[in-house]
Amino acid sequence: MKKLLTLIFEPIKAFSNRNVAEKISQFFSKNKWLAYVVALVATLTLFVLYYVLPNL
Amino acid sequence: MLFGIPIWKIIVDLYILWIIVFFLVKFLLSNKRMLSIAMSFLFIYILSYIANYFDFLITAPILSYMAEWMPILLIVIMAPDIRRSLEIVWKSDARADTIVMGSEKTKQAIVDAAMFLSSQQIGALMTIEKHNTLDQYAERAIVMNSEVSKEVLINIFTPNTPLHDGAVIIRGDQILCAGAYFVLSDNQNFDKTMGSRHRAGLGISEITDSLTIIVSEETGSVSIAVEGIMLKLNDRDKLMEYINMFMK
Repeated sequence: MKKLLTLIFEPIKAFSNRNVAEKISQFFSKNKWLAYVVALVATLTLFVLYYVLPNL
Repeated sequence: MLFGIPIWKIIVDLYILWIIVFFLVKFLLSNKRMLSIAMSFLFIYILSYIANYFDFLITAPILSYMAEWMPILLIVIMAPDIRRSLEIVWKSDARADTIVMGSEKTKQAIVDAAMFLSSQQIGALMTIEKHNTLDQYAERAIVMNSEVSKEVLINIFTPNTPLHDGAVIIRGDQILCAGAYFVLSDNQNFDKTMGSRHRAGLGISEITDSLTIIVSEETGSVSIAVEGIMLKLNDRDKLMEYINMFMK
């Protein structure tokens, strides 16, 4: 409940929570291949935004 | 041709983009503080996108203005962290396959020296290298390449001798160098009165996977710094246990 209230009233604080960053960082350090996947997804997203969508 | 553009151009474009994005991902993941700030910035970018998409009269121009200035703001605020993260990204993969850890004799010599220096209240800083190379620090220090022994370590840290200031870097069974200087940690969670020797030990543990043994000059207490965490261990067995775990 407290987390939800924080998300509603202080969303930036909720997003910049150090614990969340720590969990993400830990998760990525355990699964090193995920960094490649995230980079690939981001690249493909930009590809869609810049190449595909303007040509639809 | 794809979308009226030669395919090779698209492939090269995407490849370059992927390199940049991958570097950025690694860069952000190497520093939790940077990551948390980047996440809040991402949130503002999303808000800005939504505000512009729906053409909100007030928030759209304000958020657009914020989104434009945020990268500069990030560089100014996070300058020390950026430097540290870049060091991690560039150095983290070095020496990964050639790891050589010390023998039992080396472990014993390190613990013996640390306990002796502690009993005599002589300050010491000993960093044991693991995967991440410490060459960049060794290059600026006094190269020794000598075998690790209790006597040599004690002699190095004996006050008023040329090598006593700075850290000893140990690689495998060798003392790589003495008198090495590290970047001090600016971790706000640690006591502000903590000395520069402890801050140096903590600093190197934050940016590499090394283990540092710190002997306090004032109290004679023995601490270890590893993975950005400092632990006070005045017990010989505990120190040995940590070194054993680290030097597996």
